[in-house]
Parts: sequence; C-alpha cells; structure tokens
Amino acid sequence: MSRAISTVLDVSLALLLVSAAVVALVTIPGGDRRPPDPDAAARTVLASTATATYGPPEDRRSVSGRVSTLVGQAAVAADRGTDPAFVDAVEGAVHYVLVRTDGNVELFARAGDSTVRVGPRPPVSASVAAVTHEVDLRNTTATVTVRTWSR
Amino acid sequence: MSRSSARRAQVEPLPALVAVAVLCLAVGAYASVRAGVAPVGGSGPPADAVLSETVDAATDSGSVVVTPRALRVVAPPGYEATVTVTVGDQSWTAGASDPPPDAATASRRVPVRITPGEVNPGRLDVEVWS
Repeated sequence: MSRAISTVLDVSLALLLVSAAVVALVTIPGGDRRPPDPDAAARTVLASTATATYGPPEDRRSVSGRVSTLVGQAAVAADRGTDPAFVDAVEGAVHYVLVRTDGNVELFARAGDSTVRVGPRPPVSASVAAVTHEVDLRNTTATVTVRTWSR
Repeated sequence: MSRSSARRAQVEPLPALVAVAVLCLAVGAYASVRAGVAPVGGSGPPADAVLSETVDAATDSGSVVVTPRALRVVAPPGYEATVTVTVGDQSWTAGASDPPPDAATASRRVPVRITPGEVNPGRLDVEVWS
C-alpha cells in the first residue's frame, strides 16, 4: 500500500515538473532580440562612397571616397587640429550615408586621442553588436568602429 | 529478510498503470504545446543559405560590393527563389516571379555599386519557396 502512495507522489512530482516546463515555454518570451549582423552593417556603411564639400564659396573643395577612408582622415584631421571644416563636412556626408542605410547604425573613427562620431546612439535597452576595422591612411592608421542594434 | 524484501519489491499493478498513462498524457501535452509555441526549425526552405550564395554570386571577387547586373538566383534543386536588391527607390530583381505569400524570406544589408565610382548602402532580399 505504501508503494502505491509513493507512486502517486512520484507521478505528482513528474506532473509538476512537466507543467512547470509548459508554463516556462509559454510565458518566457522567445522573440528574436539579437542585433542585426554587425559585419553586414559595417561592410555596407564602410564600403559606400560619400562626397564631403567644404570651404568658403569662392574656394569650394570636394573630397570623394569610401566612408572608411573619409572618417579615418577626418579623425586624423581632428587629432591634429587642422581643417575643422573638413571634419564637419565628412560628418555631414557620412551622416547622409547612415540615413540611407536601413536600420540603426552608429560609427566612430579614432586616431590618437580624437574621435569622430556619426549617427544615433543606441537606446539603453538595446542589444548592441559592434565590429572594429583598422583603416590604413597615408602615413598613419585610424580605427573605425561600427555599432548596430535591434530596434 | 529475503522474503520481506521480495514482497516489498512487488508493485501494485493498477497505480503503476495509471501512473504510466498519466505521464504519457503529460509528455504528450508538453509536446503539443512545444510544437505550437516554438515550431521545429529546419523544415522550411533554406532562405539563409540562398541569401549567402546570392550575395557571393553578385559580389566581385576580392570585393564586398554587390553589382546589380551580376544578380542571379542560386537556389538548391527543388526550390524557386526571387532576389531583389534595393537602393533608395531603385531596385533590381532576378529569379522566379510571383512568390507565394508563405515563402521563406531573408535579407541583409549590402553595399551596392550604382555606377563605377558610386557605392550606396542597400539591401538584398530573397524569397524562397518549394
């Protein structure tokens, strides 16, 4: 008889565990919260081309190139303190590229102690992914970081 | 001693049968809830694989930039696919037309060469069905 009682207890415990598993399956949200592929975002932004136009109206200058090269050069210019108009123009041109990039992308370029940052900042609750590339410029290098996050 | 333990090892048949039946029902109920909440993966069309292959096929070697005129569909046998590259309000499409509404989809951000000197951020979408 005590064997029968023990069987009832065993089965009750098993049922409890199975129903806990069912409740966990149903209540724990399984949504896809992973951020988008940061490599694809970085390739898309950094390989795109942009044109930065700057200088006074009588001496307009225009620099075209890949985003990675332009932001690297802008970071170096910001670090050396030369040509702030060039830095502003690159920020504007790269911002235009980010606007046309579907989704949430932020971009940093770092050279020496200076950083050029373009794009929106991720919200605190977002799940963020980032990749960093080294960009070779003529005599120096800059690091360019691309961050992307889920909506 | 041996007599007593032999008797203790005997199982009441009815509770044991009821216990097995109840457990089977419980595991069955769990399985049906699991199937409803998290559908088993791997049975749908291979949209992610088609996406990777298509991006590779449309990209020049040594580059990461997609060229729209190189766009073509690389679908495994038994599947049909539509591929679309979108840049702003321009788009290029290759592959079968009229995808059914339940086709599997996948997409990725890609840089797209619009003219020889101009690369813009774009998006490549695939729809795969059998």
